[in-house]
Amino acid sequence: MNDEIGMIRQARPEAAPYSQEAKLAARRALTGPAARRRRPYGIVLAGALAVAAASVVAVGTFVPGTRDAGTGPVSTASAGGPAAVTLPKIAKMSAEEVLGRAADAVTDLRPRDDQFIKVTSQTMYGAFHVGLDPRSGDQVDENRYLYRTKRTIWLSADGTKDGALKIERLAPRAYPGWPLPEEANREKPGTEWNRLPTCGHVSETAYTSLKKLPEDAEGMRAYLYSREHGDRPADAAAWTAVGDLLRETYMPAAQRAALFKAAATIPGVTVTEDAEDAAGRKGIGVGRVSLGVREDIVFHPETYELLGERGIVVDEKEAKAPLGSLVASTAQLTIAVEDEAPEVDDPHVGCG
Amino acid sequence: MSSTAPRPWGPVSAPRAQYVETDDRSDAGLIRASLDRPEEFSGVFDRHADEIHAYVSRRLGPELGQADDVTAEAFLVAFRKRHRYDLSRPDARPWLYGIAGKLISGHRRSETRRLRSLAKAAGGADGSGATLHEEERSAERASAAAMRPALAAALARLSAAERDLLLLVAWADLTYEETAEALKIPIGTVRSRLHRVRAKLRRHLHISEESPA
Repeated sequence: MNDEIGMIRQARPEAAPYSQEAKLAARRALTGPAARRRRPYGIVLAGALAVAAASVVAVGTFVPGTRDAGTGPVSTASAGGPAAVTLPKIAKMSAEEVLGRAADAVTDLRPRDDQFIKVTSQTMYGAFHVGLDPRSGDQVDENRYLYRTKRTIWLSADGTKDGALKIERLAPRAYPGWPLPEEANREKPGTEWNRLPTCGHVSETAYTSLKKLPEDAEGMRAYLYSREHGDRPADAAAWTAVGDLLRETYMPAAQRAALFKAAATIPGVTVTEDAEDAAGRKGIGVGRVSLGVREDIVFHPETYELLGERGIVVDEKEAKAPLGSLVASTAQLTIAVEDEAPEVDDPHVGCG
Repeated sequence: MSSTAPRPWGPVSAPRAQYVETDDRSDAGLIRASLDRPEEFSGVFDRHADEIHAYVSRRLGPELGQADDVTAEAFLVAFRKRHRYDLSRPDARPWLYGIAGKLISGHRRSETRRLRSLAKAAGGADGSGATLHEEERSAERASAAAMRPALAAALARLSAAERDLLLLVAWADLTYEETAEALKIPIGTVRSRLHRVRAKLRRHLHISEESPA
């Protein structure tokens, strides 16, 4: 009884658990109001990542090809080590040809401003856990697995109305070359709904925003290269930008055609004929290697419509996974225009 | 591209990048980098959010998501003030605790209310308390198990500044140096104030020592 501080210390209450939703919302808020509001749905995929034990820091869930997006940890890596693409089946068609056909194949949905774009997709991405000792900064633990989801997203065409996102978690898989960690088992299959608030900001990937992008290849190329890319090589970042513009969005016909044409001018883009998307659909991959993984955009072999994306290891050492293994895979299943988005009661989401 | 990436699939990054990312950069290093690249600041969040949240939740209790709000706010405040961070301090925890502490003080009423009801929880109803809703009551009961009512009562009787100081040492395990840094006071002041707080606690605890624990 003579040490009051010791008594208070002993009486320390249990800490309340920090829900992933709240934590990710807080994290997201950090990159500034603009970033927060433009990417309200950043939370959701991240929801799939199991946060590491309290004493360590979970670094996050990473998707190849979108590395320098706002809240993700940013690399100081010398990212541009030229990885030789030596996999077989490099196609006879050039990237320019494939992308040119994709540009020609563009159809147009023409949603009204007050409508919603609804996209359903299936995804598989790596969840990467790196524990850091908070004091020393030393890495204390590391594991990986692939988490998989089915997603349905509703996004307001003119970006003025709240969107919705439904995520069905599918059973996780082992990351190539890595054992399935315990964290993966915490990914209980189930469905969650998220509200995607606009908070008064029109997203840059809202249909009406995309419509304002250049309609010509040159202008689009300039746009792709104008995006901030930190210390990543400009070409890698430009390729990333292509994927970012296509993912769960609806690019208006003119801009989409311009985008594919511009993409064909990015150095290092290659074609792989035997690509397959997350739904098992065969297609033609057009990709670019970044950090040991070739990030393919997969197109339908005849219609040249967008099927999905995938990541294939081309440099074992850099990717820390076996050569040729599949480390990311998505399929864009449907795109439709709807008059309304489901209303989601989501207490974790606010405009801060 | 941080401002334009749609990044619908989460806090994304190329897998390999993080291994380099998780280098031994100090918090100060991250904060310095965040001056140019604001997104770097999320590294500071990743390192310390759990710890700050735990501290805030201990002080404000599990109800109503207050700890979530205060933690989020604390990091936002820190983010906005990062230009003024003293880069000679590698560890940002004291700074973050200092910010969180100020915000907790803004919730003083709920903190003391919580402490008072903790104090009552084991001692039976004293009739004067406002009616707690059922969920509040069960939340109180759950957390009451962790804290002796007499101590809660004694804590409630300290000033917000005194609690701040005491709990940084006792619950956040900050050293005196770190506490001084967090509260922006000289270390000698930490010692002397702590001394006073102990004396106060002793007095209060004597009074309430009889109440069943």
